[in-house]
Amino acid sequence: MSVPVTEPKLTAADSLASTWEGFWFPPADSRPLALVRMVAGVLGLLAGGTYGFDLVVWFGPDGLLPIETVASWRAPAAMSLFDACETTLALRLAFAGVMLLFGLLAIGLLTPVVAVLAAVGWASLLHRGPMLAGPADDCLAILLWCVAIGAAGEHYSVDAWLHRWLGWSVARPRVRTRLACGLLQVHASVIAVAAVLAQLKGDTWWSGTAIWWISTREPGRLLDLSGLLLRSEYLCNLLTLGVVASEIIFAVGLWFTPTQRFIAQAALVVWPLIGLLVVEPLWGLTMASFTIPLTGLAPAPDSPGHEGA
Amino acid sequence: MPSEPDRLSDTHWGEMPRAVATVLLVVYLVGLTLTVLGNSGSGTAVLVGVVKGRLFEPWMTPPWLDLGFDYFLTYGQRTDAAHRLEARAHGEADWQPYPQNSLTGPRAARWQRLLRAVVMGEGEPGREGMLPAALGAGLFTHCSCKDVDIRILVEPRPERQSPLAQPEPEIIYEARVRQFADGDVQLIKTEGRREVAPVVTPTGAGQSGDGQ
Repeated sequence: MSVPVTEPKLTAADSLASTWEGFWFPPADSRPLALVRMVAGVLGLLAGGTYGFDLVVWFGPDGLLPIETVASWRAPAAMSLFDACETTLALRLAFAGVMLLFGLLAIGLLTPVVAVLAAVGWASLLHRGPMLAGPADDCLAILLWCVAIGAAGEHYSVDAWLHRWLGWSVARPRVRTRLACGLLQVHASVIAVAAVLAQLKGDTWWSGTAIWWISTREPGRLLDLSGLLLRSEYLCNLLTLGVVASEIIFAVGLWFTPTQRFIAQAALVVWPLIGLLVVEPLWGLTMASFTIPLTGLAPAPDSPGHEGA
Repeated sequence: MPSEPDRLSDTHWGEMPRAVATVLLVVYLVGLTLTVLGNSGSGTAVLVGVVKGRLFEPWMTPPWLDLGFDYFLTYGQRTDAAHRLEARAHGEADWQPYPQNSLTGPRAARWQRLLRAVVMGEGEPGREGMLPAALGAGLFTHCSCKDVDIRILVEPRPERQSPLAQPEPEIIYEARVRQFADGDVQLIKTEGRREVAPVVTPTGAGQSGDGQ
């Protein structure tokens, strides 16, 4: 027997609490996070791979960055498992271990443990040489922690295949998956806002010449646009202001239901292009992967569509 | 929405877990805000620095979460330009680039960050000389001696209006690094030539000197 209920009047605090609960605590399907996991594993291999060639040159026993120097340089609270690697063999083994973790993360084997170890291993590698770390490394660290929080191994993984084979059925919407996706969304916005604020402190971003300055910096460049930019100042302005505008639209647009999915899907294309333009290709790819849960690319089969927060 | 009771308990958190998670989230989000405010290249308010340093840094730094995301990418200044490292055994005439192969992609970007950190570190109290000494000592094997000169050059930033008028790279850091028999490493920074005020003669005719 149903009892008629009069809807109580919501105060601002009630409304805030309801919005908070609705954002962080509804159980979420873990397919989107599984996609993030795979991308994070591949990005880890790519970003980590850039250490591989110079690992011993930098961190080896007679390397350019001895442990004592780095320990004095970095923040007092920083610590690295790589500090214990005093021989070349130990260093190589530790590095191979981190790379192996990224490989396992990409394929989704022993995901709950591997995700945490990969995040710890990556933070350790960055702390071993903090002066070598860039935007992509920072963002990858956040991505890895978010993957570690959620149930990222329940789909598209060896774990999922093993569970099916053994007859275990563990895949289900989970609150911690929603927490991970929510944190990805928050960080995507915060990083974009912080980047825009930092950029707009410089004249070059206002005058529309920043992309010219970046394109003249040869090391690390994958695409030489300097000839093209030389021919057209308008193009140079357009690209520079386009980067700033994209970051602003991205940071804001992720929070409005009508624009959220479109912005997230566009970000999959736009962020890698920004990364290429600003000579930080891995940063562009990492930023794009933050939006995967909002794109609706991997909806649960029993849901009409993946509704973002 | 799960239909079975056991699934319900698995997928929906009760009051207490939600309260705990809320507290943790709020603390983290406050920390995130403070790290953005506190790691800005423009400087930090003392209050933010103290609160962040005492309450958040100890647990946010080890997992690499104490980040400011200060990704300005370029301000068109010399510090953003391409850097390169050169070394030689002390007394030799020819400088050798290091690393010897020209690098590309993200690997080259890491070397650039390292060299920028060396230069920037010279202006940070407590960090002067740390990286140059380490770099020099690390290059002993490369130069086959325990007394080396290192220098960092910066490529000129070509103006868009006059991109072909590119002057020579500028030396922004140079030092001699040597190791004594007891293993101690000594760093002798080479100070660059500086402009000084012209010498004014009694007759009033100005002459310029290089001050060395």
